[in-house]
Amino acid sequence: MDNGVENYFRFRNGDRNALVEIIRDYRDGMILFANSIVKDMELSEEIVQEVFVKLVVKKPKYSGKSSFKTWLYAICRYTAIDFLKRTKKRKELNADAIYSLSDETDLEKEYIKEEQRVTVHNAMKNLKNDYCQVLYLTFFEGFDNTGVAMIMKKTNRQIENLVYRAKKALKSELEKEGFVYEKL
Amino acid sequence: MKNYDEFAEEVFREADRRLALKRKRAAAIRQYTLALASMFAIILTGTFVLKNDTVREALERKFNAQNIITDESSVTSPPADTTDSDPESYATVTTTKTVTYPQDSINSTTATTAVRTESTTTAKKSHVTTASVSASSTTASSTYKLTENISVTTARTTSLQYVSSTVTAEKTTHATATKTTHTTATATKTTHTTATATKTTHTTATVTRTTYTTTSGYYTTTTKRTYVTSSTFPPTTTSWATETTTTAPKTTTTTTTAAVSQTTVVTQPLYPDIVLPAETADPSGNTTVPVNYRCAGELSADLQVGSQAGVITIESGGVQYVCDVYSLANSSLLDYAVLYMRENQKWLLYISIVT
Repeated sequence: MDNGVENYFRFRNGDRNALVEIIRDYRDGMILFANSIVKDMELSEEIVQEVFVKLVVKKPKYSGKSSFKTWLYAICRYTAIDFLKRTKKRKELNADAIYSLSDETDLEKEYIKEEQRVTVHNAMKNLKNDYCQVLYLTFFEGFDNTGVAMIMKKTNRQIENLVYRAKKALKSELEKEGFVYEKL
Repeated sequence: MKNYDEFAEEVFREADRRLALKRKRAAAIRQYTLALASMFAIILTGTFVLKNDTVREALERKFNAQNIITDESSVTSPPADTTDSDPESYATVTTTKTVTYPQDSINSTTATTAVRTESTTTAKKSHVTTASVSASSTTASSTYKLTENISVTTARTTSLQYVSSTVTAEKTTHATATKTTHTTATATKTTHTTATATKTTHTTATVTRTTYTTTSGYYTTTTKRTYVTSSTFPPTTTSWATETTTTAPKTTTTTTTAAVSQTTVVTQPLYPDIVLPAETADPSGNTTVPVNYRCAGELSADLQVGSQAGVITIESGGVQYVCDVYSLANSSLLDYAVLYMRENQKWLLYISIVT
């Protein structure tokens, strides 16, 4: 049983500090993942906040069929898609976007740390939504194909194909900028 | 980007707000549900009470309207035994009486039930006797005259004698009778008169009388049901004596049509009463008659009047007179004619006023 599950059980038993620990552990990664879907840092932060508010209000039961992180990211993905459906369109970049952009850069540096990986993450923004999500979950969050499949509600085979095509697209994107990343 | 504590604080604040809202909404729903349920309960109770009251009042009205006398029998308590030195000889005397009247007295066609239930309990210090009598009947009549006579006598030895119980139900229906008479009479009289020779009178009278007598019916039904119990205690046998008398509706319809039709034809001669007067002096050698003689006849169209004289024949009393029209006093009015009548070659002066 990982730390997240323990904290969540503690939270369900009434310990609110446990949820603060969960927020510390997973918030940043979830924001970046949500950003790969909605392409808006401010909105991504709202989405992640909504995910945690749902956890507090509804206290959904964690069944343990997947890892806690997979379960949490799946909730995050549904919430992001729900946001997209509700707003119908992505927010256009406006004056606040400068703040968001700098914010995003800070978060990338803080969360991803490795310079090369930050470059790769930046290059991903030009890719399709699905490619972006699958690459983020695989390379930056370290999910295996099964976990990604559970989060994205797809089969393993579909994820394999998606990862292959996403890598190819990312490689091409990086080559445009004269960057070679040997792990691809 | 908010720091973790701010973020967590905001998450909890938002969650608390939503939870409060949720609780408020749930409370409101509970309140509304409760109010709604109370309202329905009140309506149902009200409807039930109102319906029962209406039925009861309708039954009472029906019974009162038909002079139904309900004689609820009384059950006498065991008599106090004055010779008994123990005042608690009769510890408990309980009398229960239930009378159920026909439930559908308003709708008389369906079967109804009259139930009388009575129980008498007499408890003595060391002995308890319970008596229960139940009678029920089913009848198709619509109104009832319920008469019950019950008397219970308990002796000092707590023996109970059941005397009798009678339930009588009667129904009487009277129908109405109607008589209608229509009479029509018509009389017509027509008179045709012709100047030539005859006068004809047609008289027609038609009288039609129609009499309808209808008696719609007289319906009498008398049903008597008597419940007789045995005179021994406890009552072991019951029997029903039922007497039913039904008189079928009487309907009589009488139609009388009397028609009278009479036609009378009367034919009269034109000059029926001409009586020639006795001859008087004849200055000109002719017989002269008084000039003021009025003839009852009419001037025929065939009589040539005016400048041209004519000849007519008059028959009276079997004598035929041939008259020459001499002149007319006033030919334009055709009212007067001066006639010379010749009888046996003798001229008679005859002035006639013709009407």
